[in-house]
Amino acid sequence: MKRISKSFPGVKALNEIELEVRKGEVHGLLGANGAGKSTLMKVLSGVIQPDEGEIYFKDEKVEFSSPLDAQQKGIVIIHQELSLVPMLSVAENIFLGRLYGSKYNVDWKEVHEKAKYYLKQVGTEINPATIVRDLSVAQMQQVEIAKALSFNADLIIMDEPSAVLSGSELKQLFETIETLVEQGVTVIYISHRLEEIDRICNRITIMRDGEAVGTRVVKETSREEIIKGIVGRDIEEEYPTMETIELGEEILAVKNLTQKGKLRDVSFQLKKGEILGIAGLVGAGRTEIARCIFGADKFDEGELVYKGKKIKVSNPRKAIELGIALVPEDRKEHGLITKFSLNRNFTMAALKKISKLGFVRWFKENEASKELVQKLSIKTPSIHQLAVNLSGGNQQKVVVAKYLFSDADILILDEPTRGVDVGARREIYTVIQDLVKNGKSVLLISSDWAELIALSDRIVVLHEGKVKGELSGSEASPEMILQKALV
Amino acid sequence: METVTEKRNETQLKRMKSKVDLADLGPVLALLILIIIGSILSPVFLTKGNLLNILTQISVLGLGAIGMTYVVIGRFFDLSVAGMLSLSAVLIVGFQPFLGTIGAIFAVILVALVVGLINGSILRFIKGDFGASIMITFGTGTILASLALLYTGGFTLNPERDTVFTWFGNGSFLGIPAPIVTLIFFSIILHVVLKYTTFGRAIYLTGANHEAARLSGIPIHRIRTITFMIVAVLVSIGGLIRSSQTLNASPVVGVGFELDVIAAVAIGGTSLAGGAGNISRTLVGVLIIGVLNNVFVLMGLSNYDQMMAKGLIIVAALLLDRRKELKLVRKG
Repeated sequence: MKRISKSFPGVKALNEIELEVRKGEVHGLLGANGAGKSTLMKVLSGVIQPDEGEIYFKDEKVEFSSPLDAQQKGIVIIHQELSLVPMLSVAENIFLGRLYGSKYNVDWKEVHEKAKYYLKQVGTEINPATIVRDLSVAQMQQVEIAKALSFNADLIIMDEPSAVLSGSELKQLFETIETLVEQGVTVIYISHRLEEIDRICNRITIMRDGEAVGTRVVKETSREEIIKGIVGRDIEEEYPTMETIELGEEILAVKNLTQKGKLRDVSFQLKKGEILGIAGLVGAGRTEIARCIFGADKFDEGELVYKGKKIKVSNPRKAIELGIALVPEDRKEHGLITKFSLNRNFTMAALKKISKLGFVRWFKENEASKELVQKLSIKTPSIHQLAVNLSGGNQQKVVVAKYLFSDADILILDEPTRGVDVGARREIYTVIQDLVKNGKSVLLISSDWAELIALSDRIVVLHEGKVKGELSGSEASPEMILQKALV
Repeated sequence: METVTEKRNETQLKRMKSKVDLADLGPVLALLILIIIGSILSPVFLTKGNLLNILTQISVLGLGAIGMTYVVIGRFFDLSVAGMLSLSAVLIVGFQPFLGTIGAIFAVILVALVVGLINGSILRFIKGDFGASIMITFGTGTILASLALLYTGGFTLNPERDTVFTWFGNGSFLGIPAPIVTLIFFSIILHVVLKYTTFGRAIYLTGANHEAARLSGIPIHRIRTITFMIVAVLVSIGGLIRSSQTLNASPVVGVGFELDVIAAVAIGGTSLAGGAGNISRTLVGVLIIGVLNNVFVLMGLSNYDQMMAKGLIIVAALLLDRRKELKLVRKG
């Protein structure tokens, strides 16, 4: 791949990426969340088209207009979320949409035999008649790979295949990959886990902020070098210098929070005026913690102590009444009602404040909305503008404003700057700063570690639902977080 | 740069406003055209007698439709209104000997509240969505319809014709027939509640985005259950009017009622996607159906022609609604 660039509105997702993969190797692709790995692979597999750049495959220039196009040339991507149809058999899934036989009749014998052949190539003996629903996740992955092979794939891209696998299943996956390589298939392997990279990959390419940092041979590269490559940039000026704010007393204590399969014994405290960062990789349980505290999901064990009292938050309404707010990760779906005007969005979490005897007082609503627009400098022509017409950064501010209006004392911000361009980012940082200046407390969840370090007083690092350590914001470095988050 | 986007936003906003307005006006225009056609086709059409006749005929449908508007704005559906209409029509009459007419009315309203509560609670229990609400209320509606038949053994009941009972179907207030007065009365209440109260606001928010509303602390399940209770109560009053109008209580009076109700809501332009719509729109939809039926009768058309026309209009209304939705989605 040569000089691949791809921009999305407001973000340059890929910037002149060069990637060279050799035949018969397992090529690792590394990078933090949002570094552009998935985007690059989508380009390579024809899901999206690059703005610039060229792709050469087997010394031949290729252009893919669709995934089908790429498949026919022999490039297949296996997504993290598997794309099998659970109610159909293994064989039907492998040959989905192209079963053998005449126009009106399926030749099942042929289909099953061919399916068996491809499954064998993957190194598994699954019965092609098994219904996919009854398979383990690892087996489903094998079926996906067999399906890829049935397209005569020469290059298989695996997007974080290990994220859904446990120890023994992982071994199975590696064996499958080894079988593939023996047959001359090339694999691009995306993962966060360095041990896996060491074990299975020949060479790696590290990506950061939409650029390829470099390609190395795994055996000659130390772990420190890799981590440095992933984290890369120093904390630049894009983060504001935080004023030191005197921390008040403890406002929230999370004690031994446990949610089956997601969180184990999570404990931490939050003080008044504090920004507590929560770091971890995808799947580490960051969002789950936020939703538990906010009452959006239930937890199995543990307790929450808020302002000195043990509390039970059975639903978000209770949490909002208490003064806890969650600015969710998916602001368009969960934070806003995009087809409603700004003023309706602002007041939806505190209808009581703008009503009397159950009647909405419109002048009060408008007054409050204008005030919020000003306070957070939201850029909009009017408070009657529909939320859908605002930019991502301004939408985010609207969600924050909603909970400010509901008088929240603790704001949990889940990825507040994801998908937001640099300028708006700074403004959100200013908003966060103002929050704590006014005595609010912030629980900041972010995949951008540099951002976490710049903003947070303390950072709690999670790994697979457990607290792996706590760092002070002034001492932490991205490398330290990554080391804790990986182990 | 900033001003450019702002300007663009503004023009976008203006353009959207004008487009939405046009779509809003569609049903009103359709109604006007129907009225003009009616007055050309028949000299009787525009007489006071005929107009009051139209309004009297649509009042039961209207009561169901304004209630259904609440449910639909909350992004649910209630097919049990048909069974509810039949059951309330016979129960009123059935309770009369034991509780007196007024007692019977309150008893039936109580039954309606319970039916709404059950519909809402089942949906909450199974965490049902729009599709589930169709199936569930189809089921409960069938049960209600069969209860009506079981209760009467399939026969029509004869009511006691006291003044209270006969008033609802045949009386008048200030010279206006009682069914129309009842419909106007409840329309005003529902309109005010929907537009001016926090409860009304909460229905819109719930229907527009279930999860966002929940995360903003709105008790979405309670809101939705209450909308089911409201529609059931309004339909039960409709049952009372129907029984009083005909002076007998038929256990099959509600058959097909749910489709008319939904047609009226949809024709009026209340979005089936939830979060939008209002009472006046629905009333326009109800009027369209009423005027259409009247014009057909005046023209001497058969029932079958009427069915065809109604079907076509529903499809057209939904196409219009869909186009509006798509425009919004594209904006997003």
